[in-house]
Amino acid sequence: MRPHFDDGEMVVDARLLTELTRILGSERFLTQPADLIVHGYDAALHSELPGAVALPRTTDEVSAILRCASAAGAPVVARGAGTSLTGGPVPDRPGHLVVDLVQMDRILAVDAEDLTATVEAGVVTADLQRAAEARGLFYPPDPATLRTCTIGGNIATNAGGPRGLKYGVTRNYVLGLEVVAADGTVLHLGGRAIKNATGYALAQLFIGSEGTLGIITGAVLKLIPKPLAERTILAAFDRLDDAAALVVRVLGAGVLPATIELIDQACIRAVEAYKPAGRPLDVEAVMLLRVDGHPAAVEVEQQTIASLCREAGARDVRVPATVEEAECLWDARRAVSPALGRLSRSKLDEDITVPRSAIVPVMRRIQEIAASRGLPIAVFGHISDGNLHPEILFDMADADERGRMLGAASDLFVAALESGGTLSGEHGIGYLKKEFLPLAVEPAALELMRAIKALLDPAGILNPGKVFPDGHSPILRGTDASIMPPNPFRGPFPGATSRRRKSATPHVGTERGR
Amino acid sequence: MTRAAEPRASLVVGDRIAPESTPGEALRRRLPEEELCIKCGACLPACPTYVSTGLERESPRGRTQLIRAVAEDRLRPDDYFATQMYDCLDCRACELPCPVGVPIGSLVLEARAAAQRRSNTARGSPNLMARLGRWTLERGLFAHPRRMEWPVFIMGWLYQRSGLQGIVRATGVLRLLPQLRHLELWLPSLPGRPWRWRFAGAGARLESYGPARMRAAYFLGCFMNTVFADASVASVEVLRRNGVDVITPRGIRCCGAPQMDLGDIELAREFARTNISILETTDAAVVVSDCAACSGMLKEYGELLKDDPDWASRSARLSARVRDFSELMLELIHDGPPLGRVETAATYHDPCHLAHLQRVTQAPRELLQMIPGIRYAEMPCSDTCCGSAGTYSFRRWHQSMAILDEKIANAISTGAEVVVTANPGCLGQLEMGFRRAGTRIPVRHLSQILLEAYESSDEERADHSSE
Repeated sequence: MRPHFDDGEMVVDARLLTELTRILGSERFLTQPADLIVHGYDAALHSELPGAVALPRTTDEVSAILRCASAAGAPVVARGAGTSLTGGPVPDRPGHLVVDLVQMDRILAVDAEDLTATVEAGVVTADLQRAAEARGLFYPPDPATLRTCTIGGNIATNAGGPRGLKYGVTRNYVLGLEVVAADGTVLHLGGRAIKNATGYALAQLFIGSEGTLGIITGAVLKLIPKPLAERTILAAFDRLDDAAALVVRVLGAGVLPATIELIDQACIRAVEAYKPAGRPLDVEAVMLLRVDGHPAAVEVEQQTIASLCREAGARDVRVPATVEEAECLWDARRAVSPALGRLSRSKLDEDITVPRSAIVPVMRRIQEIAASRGLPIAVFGHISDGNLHPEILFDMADADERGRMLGAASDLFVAALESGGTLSGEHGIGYLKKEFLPLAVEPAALELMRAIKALLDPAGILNPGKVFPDGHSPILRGTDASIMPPNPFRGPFPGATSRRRKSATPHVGTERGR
Repeated sequence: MTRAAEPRASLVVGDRIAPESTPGEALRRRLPEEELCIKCGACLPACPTYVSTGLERESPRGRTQLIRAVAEDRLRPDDYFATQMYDCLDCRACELPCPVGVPIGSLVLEARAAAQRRSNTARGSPNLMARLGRWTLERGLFAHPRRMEWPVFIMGWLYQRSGLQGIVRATGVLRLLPQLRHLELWLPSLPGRPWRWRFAGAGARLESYGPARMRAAYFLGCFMNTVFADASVASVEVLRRNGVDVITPRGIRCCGAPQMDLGDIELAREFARTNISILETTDAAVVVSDCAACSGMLKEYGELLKDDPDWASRSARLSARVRDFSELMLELIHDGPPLGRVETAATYHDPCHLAHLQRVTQAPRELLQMIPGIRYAEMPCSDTCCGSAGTYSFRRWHQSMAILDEKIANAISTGAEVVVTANPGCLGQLEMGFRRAGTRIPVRHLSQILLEAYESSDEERADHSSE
């Protein structure tokens, strides 16, 4: 077999190439095949080679890049640390220009009086948290990859994390944004004030826009005082229903935990196989709760929750007294993802979010889907806000398993939407779920989204092929159309389906009907 | 001289494999391990080169994906690829956070070897001087711990003690020769005589003081024997005080770590076989080294020779006997002689090949904190590489200095009066770092601090008896 080397395919034209090399220098404008390879992936399933990679260090440079790119009509894909699970930063087609923002990593200010932080887009989330903590402040959003991922990426995907219930998600901490528009115009949106009722909330429009409306280069973020203490409670339940019911009991008792995490039986078994510690393998769910606040308050709340757990029918309740003991319990939670990773060659990490009342039925439904599609699905999640992470374990190289994985994913989406939930709680849409968007967004709303996109990016150069269904999904390529649910809109508002339009029917690219 | 007339066979390293074997084929054998990588990026913040450059190609995830691309024939294993592989510090910090256990460090070393084979077999490459340099390091200077003795001894007397060093540094004459200047800047103050010369009369066995509790084969590293002879003398002294009969077998070759670092796995294997056959004839219960690179490499022999049917089980048995100095000392110290007071503020720097490769982090800290009078403070990022990393500091001087300066700032922030570590590369690098920072904080091997405590105990007893 003769080797076929990927030397990159240039959609970016020669004049643009010269221009960008002049602006950034050859050190920060990369065209070597090796550099293209390492900027063509994220943590999702599919990768694609860019045509060139730009590494700007200032907003002016980003502006210049976009000015040149829009003049040349070259597609631009913004990228942070590449930890996305949906393919957001992966070029839709070979040859796109990737703009990697990790070198814009300055924390410009942490203001202890105003409780704000001013940062560049490439700042690592954990670095911001450390800088805030050094001044007794707190930046709560905590996506699992916080040590690697960047604030820019967090904002572009509206990233969440386990602290969602009490503290909200990234969106709730963005006061102002610096965004470079498609034509290179630098926009300053929102501001530094906590309250702001001045015209349209344009900064909010860019949160979760996944690089399709503009490139976020900086942000003013809200900080809050750091809670003085925290306490952990672990409870193992024989029955999933009892575990889920605990959430309502706790909230009903007037306690608002920072985090309530659920780990299902499949996860417990995987973790026990990975790092044995004599965990009970016959329980249906383990709940991990964390309360934070004043030392005296968390002390009381810990005891309250412990007794609520026992009332709810928990088999085993642990109330660690020290931080070290608590961390041991959280280690098991942190081990879930790696433990599952060792069970199969590939896994699809989903992030459907459902109303709290639907958690139990949806989790039961997930078990049925796993059985009917013949693939293991383990579930863990930030149960207090209804954000579940079903992980479908399969083998990407096996066409049959890949097909069944897509079927299972499709079933999951339908189950979530029919219960009044959403496609994605915190990962975003990317290319992975774009064909399913019409299931979750009603036709008129989808059209409005397209109109906004067309207004801000008339030439369509900003991260093309993401978010909106276009029949060009690398993940659905060559699969059977029957995996798509027949009835498109299943959104959260019952009755709204009557206004369904034909144009909203999702179509799957190259499939042939059976 | 024409190219064809070059004495290739003697200078080319690592070309023992069949010429038709491509780097891609060589790496394809490791593909199942690369395929584990889920590209999650958990390794990125642990990688000193990624953190300091912000370049994905300088990250563990990037390197793993590049290796995979070469293995799948999607990328040419050209010089650019080789550079990325050599720019890895081999500090193994990435392997701790990796959720699926990709053996990134050994993949990179294998990729170096593959890239090296390609450049050896490619037409008209590489230049003679580069090859000569490699040959000197791999087969000359580093091949046997003895080889460095005279050069280091001569440097010590002719250069440092004669005052020539002062003149050279004051005039800055070496600015014209950057690489030589870097070597000169690195040079710690050299001891009088190498370890082996000091114990020449004692032969291969140094008996324990008092009743023997165990017998250990001391693996003497090249740098510990010469540049850091004061530390290795202290190590053996401390072992003997703790009832260890120390034997130093003759004929030991280099442990193989520098050869691995330079991409010559085959030569490392050759040295490993020699060392195993010598060490397995000794009746010592353990093999101990006070050089983290050596003890780490010896522990890897099992892995290195696992595909060699004649050597797989022998190498695994040998590796199981290996202890780092700090590990062995922690086993012995409780029943050893009393430790005297050492009044000082100390911090500890984790050598990469001890903390990440061998996962030994607690033993040295516990030992330090057992010494009465030591005020121990942990430095931030204590297990981040100091930038020495084998030959990295000479190959990537500026990068290495950026990593080092960060390390030094972290060490200074603890208010420590002495920085303790357990590896010669780190000892030299940190010493230079403090010189660069214009401070005179001493850097000591763990064994030197322990010896100081034992000697202080001797003095305390002498005082008591004279009263």
